[in-house]
Amino acid sequence: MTIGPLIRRLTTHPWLALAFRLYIGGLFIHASMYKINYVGEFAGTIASYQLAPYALVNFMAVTMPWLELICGLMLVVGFRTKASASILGALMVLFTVAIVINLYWDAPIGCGCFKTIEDPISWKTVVRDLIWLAMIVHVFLFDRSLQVDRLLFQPLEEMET
Amino acid sequence: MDMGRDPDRTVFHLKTLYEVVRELARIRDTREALRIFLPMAMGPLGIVSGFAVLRQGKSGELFTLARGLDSEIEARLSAGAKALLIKFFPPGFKSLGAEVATLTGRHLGRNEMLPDNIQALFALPVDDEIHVLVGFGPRLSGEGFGPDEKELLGGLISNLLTTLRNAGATGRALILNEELQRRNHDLERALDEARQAHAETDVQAFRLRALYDASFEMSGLGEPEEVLLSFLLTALGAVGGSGGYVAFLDDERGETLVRDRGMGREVDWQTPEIRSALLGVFVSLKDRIPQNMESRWATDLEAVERLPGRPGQALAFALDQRRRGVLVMGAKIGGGEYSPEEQSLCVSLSSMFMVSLDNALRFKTIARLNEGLTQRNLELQRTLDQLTSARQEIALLQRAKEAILAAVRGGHRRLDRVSLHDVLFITISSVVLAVLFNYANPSGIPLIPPALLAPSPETVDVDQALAEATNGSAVIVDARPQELLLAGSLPGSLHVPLPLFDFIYTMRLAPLPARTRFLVYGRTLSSHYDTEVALKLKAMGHDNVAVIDGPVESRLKRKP
Repeated sequence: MTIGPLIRRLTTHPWLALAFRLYIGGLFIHASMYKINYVGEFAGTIASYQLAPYALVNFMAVTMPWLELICGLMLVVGFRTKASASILGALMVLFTVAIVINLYWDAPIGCGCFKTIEDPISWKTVVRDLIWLAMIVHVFLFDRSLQVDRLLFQPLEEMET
Repeated sequence: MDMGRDPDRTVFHLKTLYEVVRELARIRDTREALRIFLPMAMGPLGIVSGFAVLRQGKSGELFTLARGLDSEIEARLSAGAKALLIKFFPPGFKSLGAEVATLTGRHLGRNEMLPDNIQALFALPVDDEIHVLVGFGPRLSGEGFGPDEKELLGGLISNLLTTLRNAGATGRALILNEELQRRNHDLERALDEARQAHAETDVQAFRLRALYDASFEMSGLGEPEEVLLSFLLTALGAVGGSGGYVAFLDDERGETLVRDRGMGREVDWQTPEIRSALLGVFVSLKDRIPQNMESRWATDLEAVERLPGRPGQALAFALDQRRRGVLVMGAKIGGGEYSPEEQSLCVSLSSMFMVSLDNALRFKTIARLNEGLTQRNLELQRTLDQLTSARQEIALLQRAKEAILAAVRGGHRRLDRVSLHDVLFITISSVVLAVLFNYANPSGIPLIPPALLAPSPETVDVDQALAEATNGSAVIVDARPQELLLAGSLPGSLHVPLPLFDFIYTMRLAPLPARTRFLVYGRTLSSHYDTEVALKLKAMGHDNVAVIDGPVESRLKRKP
């Protein structure tokens, strides 16, 4: 076996996708905890980006952490991983774009990804988010291991056939 | 009578006349009168011959009587009697008012129809139906009839006429009497026959009434026991029986039905001995055993006496060879034997009884079959209901299976692709949980900012605000967060960020009079800091608060 296919096989291996899935899931669970508990501060963080309309800021601050939490839990459990990965991917794209825009504006705001008071956003933050986005894409494409719904539906599907 | 005549002769004539009258007085028959008269008239006058011809009746019956004539002459007289009578009594002759025609003389002998030596001829018109000719021959003495003899003959003829009229009337009266007696006899016989016919009609009417009543009563009965009792009572009443019973052996059902009146109450009808005695009546009839729907009176007295009770008569009947019975009747109430008519009536009653009993048994069978059918229908209905319920359950399970399979297929298909349903489900679930948690969380925030819904505060433009701040009539408040201060602030503004409002207000704004005019600014796309701080100032009792309207970026100046 040459090195290329080996690398390709390793990089596309379901177990790697499983590791990414657990990592991303845990990451978003961790990120949602503080936001859920301090929703007012998170609303201020969203407002500091100056991208969301004033009327939607509180609603986003209330719902977005829960979306992160549920998607993170579903990734950890392995239930509807593609849908969860899609949602988290979309959120990650949204965050990255918002950061890039504020970097463009040179706004001295914190990321607000995990806590309210953090270092100001930077291109490092963008790279970090892009890495996490790549992990999410990997999970979306290659994850097939230890999925609860797959373990549940596969026997029923075989039983029907 | 001439007194100069011989008195002895006269007395003799009178005696003769008396004798003749006396003899004729007791005569009631015309022929007998002629037989008596003719010799009594000839003897006293010494006449040697005489005759009499009689025609009487509507049929013109002739009677000829001769005395002293030769047989040849008598035969000629008999042959010519009819013509002789017609000569004196032509057709249509009416006797009413007619007198006795008297012919005398020798010329009478020239008539061929009369004897040769006839001396006197009398035609007596007795009545319209009785005509008599009386003729006398010569006297023994050869003398002719003198006046006295003629007078005597006239008297005798007159008496004969009277006697004949009386005899004719008597004869007609007798005939009428006989006719009346005959008619009376016929009437009496007809009356007897009518009475007998009436009695028979009454008997027939009674039997027909009994048959009709029995038919009417038994046809309306539905229970075999009721039919048996009705038949028994009707039969006893119709023939005057003192008591009896009717026993019915139903081998199809294996039971014996009995109804009794005055007989057989102490009998156990289910014993083999009783059954044998009842069937013995049929055996005794031998080749006359009743066939289907027939009945016959038992004639074997021994077989009848073996039946329970004190039977007088037994009528065996058979609906068919497996359903037979016996009607047993005791003695008649008035004594005596049952007449053939009464027995025939019982047979007729039994015919209707058997039809009614057969109908009742069929009705009972039909009722039992209907009951069985009803029960079976109920069972079938229950089974059908159970099948329907099972079918519905199967259909439900089938639908559930289909739904589960569809869910399984859908779930399996969604394993390798993104489902819009899953995305919506996750999103909606997250929103619902978030809203519920935010509602229950003490640190929760309103989904819509209160400042967006609060009444808009007074607004001033930047120039006016700066002018008021310059002349000291107003205090400009910068409500933006710390990170936005890097872009600069309005000259003379006091920085009061929303998160630090309480702290800064206490330190720097609280000492200011309540009537101090505050002009607040700081607004972005995502936050209305100015309005929120203005509301807080109003909440602290400052009514003179306004918001700076319009872009302020061009007036911002960085602080050193």
